[in-house]
Amino acid sequence: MSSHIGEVPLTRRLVDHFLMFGLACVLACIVLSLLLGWNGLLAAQAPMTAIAPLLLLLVGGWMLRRTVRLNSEIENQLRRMAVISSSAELPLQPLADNEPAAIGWNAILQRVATADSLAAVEARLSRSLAGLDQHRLERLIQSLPDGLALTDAAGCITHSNRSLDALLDVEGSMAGQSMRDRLVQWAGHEEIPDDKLAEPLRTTVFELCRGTSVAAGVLRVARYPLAGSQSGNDVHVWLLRDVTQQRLAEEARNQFVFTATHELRTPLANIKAYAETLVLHEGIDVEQQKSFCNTINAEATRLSRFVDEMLNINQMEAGSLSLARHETDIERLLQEAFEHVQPQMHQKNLEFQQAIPPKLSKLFVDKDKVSAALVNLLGNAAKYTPDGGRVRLEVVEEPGELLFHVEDSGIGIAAEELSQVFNKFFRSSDDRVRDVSGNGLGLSFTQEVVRLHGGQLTVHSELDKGSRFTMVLPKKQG
Amino acid sequence: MPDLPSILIAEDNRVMADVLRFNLARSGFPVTVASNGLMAVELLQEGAFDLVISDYQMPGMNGEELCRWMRSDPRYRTVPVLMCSAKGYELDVSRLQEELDISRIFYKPFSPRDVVELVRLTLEQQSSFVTDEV
Repeated sequence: MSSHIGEVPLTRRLVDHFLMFGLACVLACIVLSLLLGWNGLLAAQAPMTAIAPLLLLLVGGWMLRRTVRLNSEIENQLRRMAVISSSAELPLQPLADNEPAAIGWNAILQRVATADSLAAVEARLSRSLAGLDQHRLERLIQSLPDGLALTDAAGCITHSNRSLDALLDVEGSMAGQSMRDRLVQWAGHEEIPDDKLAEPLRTTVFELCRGTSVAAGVLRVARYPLAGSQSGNDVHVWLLRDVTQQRLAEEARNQFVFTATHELRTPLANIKAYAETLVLHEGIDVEQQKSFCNTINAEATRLSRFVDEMLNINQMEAGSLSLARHETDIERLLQEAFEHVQPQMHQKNLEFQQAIPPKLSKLFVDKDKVSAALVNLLGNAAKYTPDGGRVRLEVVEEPGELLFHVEDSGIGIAAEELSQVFNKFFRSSDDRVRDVSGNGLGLSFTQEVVRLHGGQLTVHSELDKGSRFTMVLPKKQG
Repeated sequence: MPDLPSILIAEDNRVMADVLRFNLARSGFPVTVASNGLMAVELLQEGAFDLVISDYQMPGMNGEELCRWMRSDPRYRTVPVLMCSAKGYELDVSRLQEELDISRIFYKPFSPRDVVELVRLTLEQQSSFVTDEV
């Protein structure tokens, strides 16, 4: 559109003023003529009387022509508007006239031009923002730790993020590949709920285990109908999440609950059986009665220790395990710990060796927890050493710390499992370990106790040869 | 007076095995104790027993495996087995009874008197079964 939309030029305005003045003069002449004629003076002024109307006609005709020309121009422009396509540039031009119609016309064009400019700017801005949002959205999708994919009506992948590739162990794009086939390939079997997936409008959630072992990997797979999907291109959105660790933790906890139940019920069963025997049977000799009572007492102590262990574990889990430190006679602590495991060692005919220097320094420790830690180490040594084997306890005093070495000639720990033995609920996959009752929390607890004391717990082991656990406790508060 | 039936106890918990033995011996039953399933197999091969009381969870060979071995040998196919378990270990009771012909499963903690009664009852039923067959 022309940029000359605006005021009428000065010259044209001056001409218009002169014309208006001229018209006023003509009218004045007409009036004068009429007055002169009325007074009989018209004959004397005949030439003026004839010329005045003529002038009037000319001027009037010229002014009329201006108006007609203006309207024609507007009409012509509107006609051109009627025949152009919607995408063509507007053929409208401003009018150089100070007639009200022209002024109004020019005002309309001004507004249209302004609106066009704003529309163009808005379009450019929208395109920029759309581009920015799309880029941000793509970055967001690629950053998700969960696998994300879109599939079409045939179940083929149309879009996926990098996490999906990683979860399904795929290199390169999976576009065009069947999501179901990729899942089957990952899992190594076809245990997929095809009946539920056959319903396109159904939200389907299931867990897929790789192979037969949870440890090999478990994915939580969710398929949702894509909102607003109308064509066959993107029909479903898939969300895959690695839940292996959660399932392993669940398994470990379930195993722990089973083991804990067993650990509680066994001493309870013994206490009940011996107590009932004492009550029901008459004539049991005194020594036998004492033996039974001692058994009840020992089982009650075992039960009590187990409950304490459970409470300690609970505190440890909550991060609230605390120490009640007192000056502690280590020799006495060692003796009590040994007395606790002695029945176990006696039962398995284990040789117990001690190397404890005299006059050990006292330690400022939580006696109960350190005792529990030692009992755990000695108990494990006895538990995992076959009948007739050997368990050795050696204490070494060094400047600033005491070292407690618990060594056995037992089944040992596989090298690949050494780094896990201090993990909560961990139990070795060795069948020989599985056959022995245990909750997988003892070493975790022992390590936490040692850590809280500012000490260190380490292990050296060789499979089928034995293990050596070393607990280091500082003499001063750590 | 005829000898009372002999009983084999397979139990890795020495404390529990001792109290069971005491109660059964007080009732006149000759009792032998095996500390695990494998030892129970050895003892079964060496001598005859009329009833086996087995703990389910034992190292090496558990109670179910012991029973399965017994049912595979014609000498012990009809020997009644009482299985003992801690309740935290949910056993498929119907499967065990159908597949392995386990006479009864009882749970810890239990009453020794009840176990002795259970042993008597099982042996009586076994005896009447044998009598009927004859």
